[in-house]
Amino acid sequence: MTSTPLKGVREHFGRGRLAVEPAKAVFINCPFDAEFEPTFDAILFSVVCCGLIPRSALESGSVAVPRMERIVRAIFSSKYSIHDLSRCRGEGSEQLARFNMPLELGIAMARRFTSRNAQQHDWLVLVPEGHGYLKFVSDLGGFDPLRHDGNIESVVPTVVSWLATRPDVDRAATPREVLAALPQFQSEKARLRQDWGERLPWSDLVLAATRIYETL
Amino acid sequence: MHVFLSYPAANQKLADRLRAELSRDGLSVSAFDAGERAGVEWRKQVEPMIRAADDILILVGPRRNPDEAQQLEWRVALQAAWQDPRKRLIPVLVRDAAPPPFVFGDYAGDDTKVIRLLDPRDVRGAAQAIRKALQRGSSDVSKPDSEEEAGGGGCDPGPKGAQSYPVMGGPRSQREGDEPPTPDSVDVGTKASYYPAIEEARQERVQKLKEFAKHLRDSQRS
Repeated sequence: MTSTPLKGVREHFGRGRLAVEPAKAVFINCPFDAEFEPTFDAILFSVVCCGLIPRSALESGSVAVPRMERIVRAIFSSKYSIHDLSRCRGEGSEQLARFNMPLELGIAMARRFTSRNAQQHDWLVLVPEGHGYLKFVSDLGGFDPLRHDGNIESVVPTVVSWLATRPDVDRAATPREVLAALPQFQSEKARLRQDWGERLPWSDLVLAATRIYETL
Repeated sequence: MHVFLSYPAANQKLADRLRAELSRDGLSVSAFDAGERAGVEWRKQVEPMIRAADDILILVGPRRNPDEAQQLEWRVALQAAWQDPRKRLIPVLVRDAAPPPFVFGDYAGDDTKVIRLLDPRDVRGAAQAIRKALQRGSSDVSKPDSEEEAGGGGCDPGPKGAQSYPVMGGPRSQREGDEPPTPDSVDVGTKASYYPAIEEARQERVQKLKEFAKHLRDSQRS
């Protein structure tokens, strides 16, 4: 029997009653900008449509715990992770690339060597077609990241086919089903955005996606 | 007809014998030797091989978790099946191996066969059953008249939380004439006969998600 939370004490994703079984958790390490948002939504929704729970740096947490620690905890309590390196390119007037994604990918790769066999971390790297990732992270040369053309029609089959062939997935929706239901999730997200603005809680996004998944 | 055979490294010998037996009967079979499955070059070669196949045989041993190389082949096979709805993912299960859930994700239909090798030593019998399963649109394969006959009604859900699948699948296919009946060392069912177990696992998954969602909503009200 689970206990009722103390009134006024917010429970955080991944802990206590909101603890997620690692074998059913997927950490999503992708850009959060407006341009990438459709792809991010497609990845998140694909994860849920494979019966898994998405984790992210966007989860709320105690402000007393540094963001980096929350990210590491989320990765370490997820058996799977998906990493997109689209933003590892020069941007803005200073032509700087964003390196949070490679940093978190490195944490996920290291996780693989710290976990026992049964819970060995498995990760997927996505790069856009023509992306020169090998020029700045040549160590990935032997791992053959999966490529997409930036459109959700290309991203969804890539992500779903990877998740569907993991040992912990009981049943995955087909890309056809995911793409058909995705607009419904996007509408729901837009509605939530009106209520919450830019501080939309991660848990609400996951709830919206799971409600739609239950109908598939 | 051309097929691709995906198999775990642990079943290399069985796969080699199966491939030889199928090829001897005129079937074109491609596969990648387990010892050569490494590196970017292998990845570049295996994908077109799988996409070129009409159907894909998924050999599964009793060990539940596939090796990484086979997982890659599975992923490519699934994508290939999505792109060509006629392409079938046909599980070939060794003894009590469970079919990996992804094989039910193609669009080819409920009548696609699931082949269980009750005695893997009888490779000839296995090859015979596989050849018959690959036949398309043949009227000689008897279809179940009812769900019970297909094995769906008799499915024992097994221990709670476990994925269990019927060991005995659908009715044996027989054709009077020049082909012998399916041997006793092989059991042939249809994908449809596994659906009750899959649906049960799905319902359990949905239920867990509902409970998780309830906790989420409760946490937001607190």
